Amino acid sequence: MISRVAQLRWLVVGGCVLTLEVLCRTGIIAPQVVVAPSIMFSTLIEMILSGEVTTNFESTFYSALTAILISVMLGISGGLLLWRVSRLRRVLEPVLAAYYSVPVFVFYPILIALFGMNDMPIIMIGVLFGVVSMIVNALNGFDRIPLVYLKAAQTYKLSAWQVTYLIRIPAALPQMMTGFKLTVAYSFIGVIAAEFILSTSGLGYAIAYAYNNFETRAMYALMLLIMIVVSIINVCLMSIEKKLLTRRGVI
Amino acid sequence: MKGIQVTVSDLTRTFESMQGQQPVHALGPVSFDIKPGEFLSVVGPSGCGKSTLMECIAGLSTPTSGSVLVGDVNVKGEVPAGVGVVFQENAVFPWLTVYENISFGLKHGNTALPTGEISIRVDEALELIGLKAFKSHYPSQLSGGMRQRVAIARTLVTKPDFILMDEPFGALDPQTRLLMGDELLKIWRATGATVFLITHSLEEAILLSDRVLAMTARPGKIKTEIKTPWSKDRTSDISASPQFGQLVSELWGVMREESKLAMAQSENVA
Repeated sequence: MISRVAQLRWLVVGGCVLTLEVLCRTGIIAPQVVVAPSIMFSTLIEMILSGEVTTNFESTFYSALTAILISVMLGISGGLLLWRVSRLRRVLEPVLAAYYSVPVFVFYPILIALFGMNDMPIIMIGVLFGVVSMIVNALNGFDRIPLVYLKAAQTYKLSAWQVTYLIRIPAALPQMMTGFKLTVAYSFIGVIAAEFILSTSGLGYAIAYAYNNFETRAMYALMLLIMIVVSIINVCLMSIEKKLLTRRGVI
Repeated sequence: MKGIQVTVSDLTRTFESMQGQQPVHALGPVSFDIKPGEFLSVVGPSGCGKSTLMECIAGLSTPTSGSVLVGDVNVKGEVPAGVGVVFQENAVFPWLTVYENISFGLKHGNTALPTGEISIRVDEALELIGLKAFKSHYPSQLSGGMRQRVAIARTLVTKPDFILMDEPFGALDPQTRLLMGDELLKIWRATGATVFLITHSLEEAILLSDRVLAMTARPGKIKTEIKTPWSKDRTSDISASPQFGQLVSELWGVMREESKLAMAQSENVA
């Protein structure tokens, strides 16, 4: 059963789509500007069936996934490091807090100079977008571990490494999950934006290409594809998070 | 398995406080022995440093002065082998199931066992605490009392020679408390372990222990020692005997002044 609020929410979304459909079909919005949602969808199906999105889709996915993986590993180890070395933390914490107010995207020429014109600068931009939310939330998670868990660990004489992966990381998992959700979203944004300007493949590139060639239908179909994929990922992450929090008794 | 002799000599603990404030003298000096296989309880008013005392003995906290000997190990900020601790707060790991929590010490660290033996021991422990049907549950699905039983089982399952417990039955209802007390006595008899128990309940202290130490308000020192007359085979049935009531009121007579003092102390802090 969906709740009344959820029903209303679907109604709002559905209403917007329907309004757009009507406005496009009646010619109030010109097809050169926006195509009707039904056309977006049918074009997308065609493009999927013909296989022309497959390569671009794979390339975006590969870049984003790599960026997410690197962000998570760097984020957790960075969080641990800062948590351990309090002096370093005091130095870097304001920088981390201000990080997302800096448009890191402007560094893309440097990344190209460093890594060349390939997937690497794209992945790196994904990492630049994603890693800090992972660090900040991991740090936050490590801060909140109840002392008694660590005391209990002391009675079992665990090694420092065992304390980290048996106690600290699982104990901090709910906060890290919050960071992870943002990391996934930010990495996708970074990767797709980077593909717009410095790639010859990927969904971002394909959208830019369609735009430059006045293929309005293809452009909107690809946008729709990204929306759908990212929404699915988000729903999955949210349901995992909900399960995790329920298990912990947080909600 | 044999219990260990424990010797506490001139133990004190002072906590550094924030700038500009006096350091807090929380505990001591206290000196006492626990004989091998003895069941010793400590009662005292809130804030008298009972938990601090336990942490110093367990090696979880370093004393400011004095020494603790567990067996022939001089405890200095490290938990000696064969020592098991049950904490006052909820120390059950919320990311592990009941089974995984209880088997934690048997899987990892210095008390690790071969895999085959683990499930036998954990099943025994689950039987003991009456949570067999809950072995795949997560702690969040249990009541506070059930969680604390899991915490107790997690410690007992490693078969420690010296068990330290800080208010382990605090979260339990009075009936479960009595039952768990009987179980604890049973385990104590079966293993011959030395037990150090901190409790708020004077009845519980008299009921379970060979000897009860009553502590003063902060800084906690030992005020009196009360020996109980019952044999090792005692159960909660002794609470019906007149001698039991007599000892409890004797203990309360000793504690009344200190509890008042502790209340006044906490008002001053507030």
